[in-house]
Amino acid sequence: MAQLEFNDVTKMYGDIVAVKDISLTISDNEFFCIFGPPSCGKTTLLRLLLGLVQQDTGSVLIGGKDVTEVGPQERDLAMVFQNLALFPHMTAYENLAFPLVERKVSKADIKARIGEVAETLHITPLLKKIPAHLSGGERQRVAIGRALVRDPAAFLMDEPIAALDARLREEMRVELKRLQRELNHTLVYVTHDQEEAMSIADRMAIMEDGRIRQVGTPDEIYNHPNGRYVAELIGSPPMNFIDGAFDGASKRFSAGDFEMSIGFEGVSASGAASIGVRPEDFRVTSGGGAEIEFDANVYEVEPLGGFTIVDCNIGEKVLKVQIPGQPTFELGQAIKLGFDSKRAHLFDGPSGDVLASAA
Amino acid sequence: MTEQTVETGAKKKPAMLQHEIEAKRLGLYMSLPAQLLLAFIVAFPFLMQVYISLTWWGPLDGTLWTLAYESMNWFGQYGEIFQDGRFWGSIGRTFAILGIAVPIEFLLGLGLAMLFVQKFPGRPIFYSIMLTPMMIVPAVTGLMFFLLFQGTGPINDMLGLPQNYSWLQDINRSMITIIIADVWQWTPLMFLILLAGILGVPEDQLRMASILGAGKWTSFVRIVLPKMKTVMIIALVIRVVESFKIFDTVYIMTRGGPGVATETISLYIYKMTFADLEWSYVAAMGLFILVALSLLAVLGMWQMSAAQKRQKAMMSAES
Amino acid sequence: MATIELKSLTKQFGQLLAVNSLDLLIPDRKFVALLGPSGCGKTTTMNMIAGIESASDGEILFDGNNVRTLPARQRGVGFVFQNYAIFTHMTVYENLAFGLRSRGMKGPEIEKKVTDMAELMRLTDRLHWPSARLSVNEMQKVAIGRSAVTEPAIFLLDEPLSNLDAAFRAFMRTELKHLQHQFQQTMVYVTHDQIEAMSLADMIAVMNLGVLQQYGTPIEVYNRPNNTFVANFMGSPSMNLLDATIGGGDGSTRIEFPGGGQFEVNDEDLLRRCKSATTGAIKFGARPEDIALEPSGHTGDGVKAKVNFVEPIGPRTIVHLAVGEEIIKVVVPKGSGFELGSDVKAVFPKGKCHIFDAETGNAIGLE
Repeated sequence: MAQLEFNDVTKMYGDIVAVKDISLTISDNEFFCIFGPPSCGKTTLLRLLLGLVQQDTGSVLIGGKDVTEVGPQERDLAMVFQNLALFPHMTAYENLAFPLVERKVSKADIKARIGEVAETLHITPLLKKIPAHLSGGERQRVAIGRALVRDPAAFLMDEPIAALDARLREEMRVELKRLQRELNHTLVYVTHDQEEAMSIADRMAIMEDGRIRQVGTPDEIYNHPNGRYVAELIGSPPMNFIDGAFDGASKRFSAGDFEMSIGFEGVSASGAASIGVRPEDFRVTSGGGAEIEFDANVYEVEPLGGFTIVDCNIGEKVLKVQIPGQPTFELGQAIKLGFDSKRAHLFDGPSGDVLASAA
Repeated sequence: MTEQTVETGAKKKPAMLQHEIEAKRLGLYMSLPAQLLLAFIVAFPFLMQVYISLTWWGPLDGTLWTLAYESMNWFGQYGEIFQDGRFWGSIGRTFAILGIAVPIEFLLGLGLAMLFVQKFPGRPIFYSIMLTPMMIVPAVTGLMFFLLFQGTGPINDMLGLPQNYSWLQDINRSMITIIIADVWQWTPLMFLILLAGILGVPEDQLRMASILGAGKWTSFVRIVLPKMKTVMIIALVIRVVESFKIFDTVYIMTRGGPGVATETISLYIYKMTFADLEWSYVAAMGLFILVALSLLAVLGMWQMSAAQKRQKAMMSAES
Repeated sequence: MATIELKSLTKQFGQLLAVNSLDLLIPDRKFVALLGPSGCGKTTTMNMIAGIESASDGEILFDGNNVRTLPARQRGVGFVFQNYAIFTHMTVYENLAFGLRSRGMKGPEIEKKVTDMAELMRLTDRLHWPSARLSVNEMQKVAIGRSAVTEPAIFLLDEPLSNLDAAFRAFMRTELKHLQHQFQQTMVYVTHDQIEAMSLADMIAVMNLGVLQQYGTPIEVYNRPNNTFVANFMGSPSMNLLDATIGGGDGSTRIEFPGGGQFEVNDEDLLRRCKSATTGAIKFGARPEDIALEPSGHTGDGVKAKVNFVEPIGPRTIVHLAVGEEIIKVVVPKGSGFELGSDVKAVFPKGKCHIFDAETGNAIGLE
């Protein structure tokens, strides 16, 4: 159980930036998610931790110690790969035993340790089977088990449940969270599924093009994104943006033929800006009831059972609104949309930085 | 990549780590015996060959090869090559054999491979039978066809030809027998490689082609063949290089005769070496062929990279 | 017209019965999803419709004509494989043109159709690129475009969005829907993601282990599941299914949970269902978004529970509650504070409860 640190780490492959100026501290016993689109550098960070690649500048610390000179075998980290990399010719038991056999642990100790881990992961009845005879979810657990038997300083996982069915993924992520809590290990978890990251992380880092955009708890990231990029990336359906201009003095926002008074208290400057409102923060009102209200037409309705997504247009723009339950709408129906300025964000036009965030 | 192109603040790449240095050193020590052996077996004879090729030395001179420099004449032997009619004749004959045999092997191999793609009863057995010719020692193949093509042999018998109808002693027909023997022996190799190539074509793409309306022939020409390009090139290169060196079969069947009618380059070199004992000439010939073939290979690779560059330029122009 | 009718369609792979006597009618120009977990037979069914997998038994009818013996290339359907199966040795243009060329169309006409499709799929910039160099998202567009350009009446898609990143997936969902409306095609769509199916489909066919479980509109299948499999599979998070017994006597009907909780049934709909039950052993179902969480003392049909785990996932928060030995999930709006370990009451809403036979899994009293 150890703290992991990156200090000013950069890694380039020729002219291509893999990761740049990464400074990050992952606390002991933390479930930390690294989230970002493909090729943002998240896998590179894991490899830097593991020692499979060497950083160009900066240092990587495990448990406070600089591990630049330490080879991958000595770093005491356990890894679960996306493709699991289970040994196909060995049974689940032998797969689990492998890391311990390599480290010359006694047979009795191996048996005891595997017994414990198998019990925790509910795979005890599967130990005699080979990977080909196991289902996707079972293989996943064996792969995780193989990492668990070692009791390392930290666990690293690279999209370990990405390949599973939607239903199984939901179950597995609760299991993983529970496991991590129970075993009290530091876990660094890479994923491109934002719902997954939000659900299981204690804290998460959002990456783009090799740089960290924001680090924080899921709540902080969701409710207080530091810029348009993060705001757009997290949340499904994504946040709605209305581009226009904001006048800091009169507190009026205008976008084409659309104007509103909106009280972003802390913002006194004026210029090109965008308002961001999440789909669930809009309400379909019937006149009165919301601080800010305007007319819209229903463009498309997606009833998803537990909630419904309604695409509405105001002029040229389409906004997505999420409403609980199964309300009915006609295509083309005129409705009134409302939201509270407390739930809205304001982003600077050119840079995308957040100017005002939801309360 | 120089430090100037790295963005602000980047320092020099760290010096190699201790464990990396040790790993490299260990690698060096462990491969040293093998490297020395290779040096002895490969480099030494090669250098010896180059040395001798620059002289007039031969075993009949009576001196040790190390003293060959006494008859040094630099590129004289190479000059001889250009004037040697028999040399060029043998090169021509070798190309003739390959130029006919290899395409036949290729087409036959491809045809057979296509037949073997679908499962049919007894396929594994036929597959083993198909591969046997390849596994027979070429000299034995030579002996087999030697016997078959005898005037009094079974082929004349089956074709109803008179017993004095000669194959192996006829100036034209002897070439035909060599080609037949080569095709018989090596078609299985083409078959093997091309079958692997066909089976390597992704099945989903073939299914998709069929859904889009392509018949079996269209699918073969537009999906299977293009995807086999690399495999086909490999098969052809392997066969061309090997058949250039053809020796055993020819030697047993005709000894290069009648006269020089079937004398391939390797047979000519053999005779020059062991019959005429013109060792420095042979050394020069060997190196000449090596250089010529290498130049051809370089030319081929240069063409390929030029094609790739053209493609990249096209892509960046469009994006 | 392009209706697809499957009659007793069966596929056997040696010992494995992949598709078991499937009867399904896919109406003209409707978007139908074949939904189910891995191995349920949905891809095999679609492969049989396309003709790339032969049926062991049964009939496949396009507009009443049996096409079962017709080879794939004569069926005139569009198809998108899960891994796209792009012709990687050809350019984007050649991929898009392939189907048209195979049908003997001439150069200038092909060029028009291909450039139009490229524009529609926003691939014009990539038209002469080697297709192997495209990004995953672009390959997907080519996979769709190359079938769409042949203007098939029937379009089959096998989990086409599963390899895409979340943002692009949401975008493509809308695009697919528009494509289908624009070209008026009958679309059959295989997926294991029930949200995708609900969002896109006019009708959903839920399958499990080769057998059709339920066929209806998304809302029907969601609101009125006819067995526990469908009930559990639809909805994210899935419906809570608790072991229970119908008890009572002395005039009242009660639902009792083994862990000790119980409540009196006052809801008319639920009462009617309980009364029509032939067995006492049931599974009681209520969806997470339908359950209300109230302070422990609240009145109303419900049970006492303890907060076990809290999962905030952005717009909503999922609260895990321990009811006796079982765990149920409840969806609450974001920001509502629930303390781990606190006691609450889970209130079951009127008209939204389900009961299923504990042994067979079938719904009880479904109208």
